[in-house]
Amino acid sequence: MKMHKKINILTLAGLLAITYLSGLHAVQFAPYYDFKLTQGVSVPSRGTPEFTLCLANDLGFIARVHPKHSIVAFYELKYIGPSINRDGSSIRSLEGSSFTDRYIDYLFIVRHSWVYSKMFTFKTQVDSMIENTRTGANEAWGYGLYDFNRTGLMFSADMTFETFKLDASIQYSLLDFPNYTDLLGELQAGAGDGESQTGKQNHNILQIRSNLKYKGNKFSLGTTMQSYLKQKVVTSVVQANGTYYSAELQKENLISIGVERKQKVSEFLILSPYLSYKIKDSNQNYQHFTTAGSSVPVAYQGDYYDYTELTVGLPMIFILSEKWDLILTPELSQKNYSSRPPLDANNNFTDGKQANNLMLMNVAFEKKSSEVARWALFYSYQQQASNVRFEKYLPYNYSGSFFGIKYSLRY
Amino acid sequence: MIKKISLIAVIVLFYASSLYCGDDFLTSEVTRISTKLIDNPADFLFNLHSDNVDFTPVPKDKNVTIRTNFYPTTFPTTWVNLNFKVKVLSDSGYTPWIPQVDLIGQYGKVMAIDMAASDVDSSSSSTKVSNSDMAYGLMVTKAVSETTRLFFGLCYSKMELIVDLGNNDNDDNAVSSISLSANDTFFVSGIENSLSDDKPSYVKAHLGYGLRTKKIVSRIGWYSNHFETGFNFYPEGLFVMHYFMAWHWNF
Repeated sequence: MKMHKKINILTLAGLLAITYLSGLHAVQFAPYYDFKLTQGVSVPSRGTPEFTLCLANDLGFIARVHPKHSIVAFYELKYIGPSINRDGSSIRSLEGSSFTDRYIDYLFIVRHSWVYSKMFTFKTQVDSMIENTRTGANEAWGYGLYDFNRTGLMFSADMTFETFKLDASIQYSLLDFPNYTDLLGELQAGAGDGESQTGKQNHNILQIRSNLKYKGNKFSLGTTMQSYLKQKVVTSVVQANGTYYSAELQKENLISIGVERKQKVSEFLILSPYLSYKIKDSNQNYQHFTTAGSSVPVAYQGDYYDYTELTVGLPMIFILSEKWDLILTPELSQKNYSSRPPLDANNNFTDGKQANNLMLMNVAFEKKSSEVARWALFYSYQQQASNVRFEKYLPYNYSGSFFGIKYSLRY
Repeated sequence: MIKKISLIAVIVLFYASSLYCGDDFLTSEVTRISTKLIDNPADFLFNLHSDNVDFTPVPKDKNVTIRTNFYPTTFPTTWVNLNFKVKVLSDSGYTPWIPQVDLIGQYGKVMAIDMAASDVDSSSSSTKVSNSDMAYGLMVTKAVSETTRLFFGLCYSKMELIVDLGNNDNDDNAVSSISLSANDTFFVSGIENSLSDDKPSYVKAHLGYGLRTKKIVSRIGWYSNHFETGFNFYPEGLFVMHYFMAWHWNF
């Protein structure tokens, strides 16, 4: 962690130094700064109301070092407080986490753009991100179980044709979870030759994406392949080493297809409907233990993590005046697990397949106060329904409201 | 002994009066607030100290800024404070890329604790109290347009409250001292935007990040010729949001 901290500080110092060195060499240069605040109250049907604060501070610049070459550097520090709606604007699935978790993200991006011709632009990007989590009141930053460091490299190509634009990108990322372990998992694995859980969250990600833009329509297609470095696949029978882990490493693939359209209906109304469909395929299976202290599994579930998810949304922007907008964003999402049966209230599997339905409605009044300042009053209602009834640790069936104010200053 | 108890009572009252600094009173918050206060009282004091610290750059046509935060520190907690900023380099002073450079210094004291301590001191030479908050740093500012300036810098910040009760009656269970201290070096970045061409009227926002403790302090403020108001934000603090009022003079 100390090394990452040093890298962060050096990165920031470098960013600021480049800002001024760019000026020295008469490079065309434009700084970028963005301060975003969301302050609100989150009132879930399960659990207690929480005051929520999200803060983001972005520093960056774009430097045109040559008529065909430019560099963008960007550093973001982001705090996400406890909430049912993680960043106050977009929905983030809560399955597997609680309302009270808090995060600090540190993100650094350097991107080089090369305008090769009128038709082709190539981009190369290096990015680094550290996420710290706090799941308990007394847990110190930097010691979270799910803290991770991500390092990535991306190449992309933008192609501009007469009537449409096409882009394609490939990104490789390595995620390292320095604090991760699962003592309960080690206990449940049983036998004297138990597998250490340390490092089992570490994985590589390869993402390939493409977007096609045509007359206000955008079609997107992407695949995300995750390969775990140490996590092995669970089997139904005890292996020679006394555990339920086979020699095969965990691999996952997520295919996503999306379509959206920006439609200006009149001078006062803009619609941006979108639809996305995701297919998750994992070779990981699951051994079920009914109690925390149990070391004997009671049920084996193959393809436990496979699912499909359909999301539909219809953002509506009502332009009330030159400075005021009213934004309504209804969104529906349905997640169906391919093989996973739901749990009853006693933590036992029942018949059928697990399904989660999520409904979100955002209403926001936004005002552009000046060239750089804007603020919004917002209300967000969120409801999830699931056939999972075991909710001792994590909520599956809940509703909640989130309201507050957003403020941003951006140059 | 009674005077020692009264000293502790003043400190407790200081805490209690400070509770009115926040605006997020809800019954359901009481337990959380109590637990947090007991868990880390120094952090709460440090947040009040951070209300006193200011990073707003000295105006372009001025050289010195003196500022005092009068709510929620001077009133109601008797925490008097002064913040000095001195411009040592002007924006574009020598060449266009030279930024404005300001030196920052801040000092404060809680008068109620000092007065109670002097009362105790007069009757009990073994009891000693010290409380102070201070900060110093360097800020770099660059105008990016006619109305907007960006700034960043480093600032060391410290708050300390030590009560040495001087118990020497060989009672191992007696409380012998109360020591609350917090400090860190903050990296700060922010933006200032002029709201009016006719009169001094600005909005500013900044975010500071503690390099050692990962503590976040942030402010959105509006200020005119002398008066400042706005909100300070401490995401992990006892009170996440502090409303503040301050007064400044530019020379």
